[in-house]
Amino acid sequence: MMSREHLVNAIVIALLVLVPLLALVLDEPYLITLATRVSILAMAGVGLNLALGYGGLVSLGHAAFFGVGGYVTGILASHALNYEPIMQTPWMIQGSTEMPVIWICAALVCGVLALLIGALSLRTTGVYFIMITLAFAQMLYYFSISWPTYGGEDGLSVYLRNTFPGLNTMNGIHFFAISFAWLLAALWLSSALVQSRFGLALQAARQNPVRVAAVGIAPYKVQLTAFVISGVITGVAGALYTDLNRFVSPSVLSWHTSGEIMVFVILGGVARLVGPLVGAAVFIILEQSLGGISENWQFWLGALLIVVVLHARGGVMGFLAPENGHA
Amino acid sequence: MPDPVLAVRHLCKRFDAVIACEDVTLELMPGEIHALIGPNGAGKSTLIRQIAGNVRQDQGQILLAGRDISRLSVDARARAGLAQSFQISTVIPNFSVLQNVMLAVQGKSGHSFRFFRKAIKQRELVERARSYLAQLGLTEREKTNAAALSHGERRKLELCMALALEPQAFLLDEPMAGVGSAGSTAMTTLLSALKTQAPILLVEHDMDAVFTLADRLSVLVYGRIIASGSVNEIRRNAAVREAYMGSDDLPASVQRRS
Repeated sequence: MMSREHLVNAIVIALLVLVPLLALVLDEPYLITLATRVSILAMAGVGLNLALGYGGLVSLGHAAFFGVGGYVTGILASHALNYEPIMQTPWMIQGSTEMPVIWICAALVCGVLALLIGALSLRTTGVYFIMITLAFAQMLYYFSISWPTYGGEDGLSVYLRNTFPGLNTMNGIHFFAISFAWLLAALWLSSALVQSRFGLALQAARQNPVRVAAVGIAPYKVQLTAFVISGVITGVAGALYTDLNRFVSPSVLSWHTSGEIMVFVILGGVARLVGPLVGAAVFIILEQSLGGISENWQFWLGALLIVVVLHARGGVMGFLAPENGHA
Repeated sequence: MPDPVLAVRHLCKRFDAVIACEDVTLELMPGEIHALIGPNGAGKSTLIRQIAGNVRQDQGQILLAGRDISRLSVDARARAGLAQSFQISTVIPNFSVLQNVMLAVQGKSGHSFRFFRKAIKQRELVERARSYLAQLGLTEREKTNAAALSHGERRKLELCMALALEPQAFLLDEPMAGVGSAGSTAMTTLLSALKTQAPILLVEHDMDAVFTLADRLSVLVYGRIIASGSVNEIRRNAAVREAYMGSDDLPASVQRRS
């Protein structure tokens, strides 16, 4: 028996595949780009959902991971395209235009960054946690603006999308396939984690860290691990985002980005597997439909968000597939 | 004489001007229930919390089976063999009863960093959790959300989680609080069964229960142990009666039975 939630999840994911395929038939490349954007932003949200939704760690600094992932792509690619090594001493490190290499680098850098930010931030809770994660992201934002090597305020262009063996990444549908595969991988990972022993401990630590410690599990270690995994997922999404736009600028590190990723999660449904995907899709649909009518479409997004927070805590997913209770 | 399971030596704790614990030394022997009584604000909970590690002592030592645990974190002490229940019921509210006990079994096993297999499909986890639920008569409630349990059931669930840790010693902070008189009779039976698993350091206000259950009593007043001994010795002790005179929670049974 398929539960209602599984059915809704399957439909949502199927729609995300159908739209670009239809766009391919109808020759509407713009729609393919939009679906790719939804996939990548949703993946960033899946990362945050692990920390915020399941772990109760309200991070307003996930732009740090999204942006740093983005800059890793931009920096590696620009060095490779300009035939300039990143450094020569003590080791020779070259840039790269191979997506798998870039992804591994982005994941490692964001993992280490999340370990540092998490290790310090998790010493606080509540509003202080929100503020300290925000502060870390803002530090990186101002650093990126004032560091001229990689474009500073103007950002960094990547003339050609990075490559993936066997695919033509400049072809919209191919790049969609890559982004979609990443989203699926992130969803699968998130689903597995949440149901594992680790997930049990993480969700318990969100609700009652004192009890978790009393049964012999250190909440700090569990939450820090979740924060690192969360940062890595969001970071890889950021790496893809640079390739989508062939451009990266400090704006991906700004707190607006953190806020938007958080909006995806809340709009779609906190601690719901495909919540961030639904949230990102609704966000893009609103942006595209209302954005054409009014410059101030975000006013209406804000109104919608108020309604969700006040009257429908479960977000869109809470409406489509009401939760049946546990965890 | 056998070695104590738990030994507290010269424990001191101050909160600014308030002395919560002054040179407290006590022992928990194998197979016994050692009850800690005293007026409100005497520092009973603070003592339990220091032993469990929620509050760090200023001075003194805590030994569990001869091992100094006084600098360990709460979770490390739990893994070393201390199981605590809190004065205010502390369970995972949005977990089912079964998931709550699974968490404790998992804590005992020490394997919380397994990321891919579904917890609910791990037989060693689920079956052991179910066996503890059966011991406390909670089997029929296994699917219920912990938040939806009655107060008494939540108390039982907490004890069940403590039991699942297979501890060397239980630290129970007022397990009878708020369960009513019928509940406290049931709880008395439960605690005497629990005692066969590991000795219990018991803080309790219900004097009938204390006098029924305790093998030994220590009386804490203003952070000091003023008397320690068998039930009869404590009843006869003049200092204890003095300490309770005029106190708000004057336990009638201390006087009635003396």
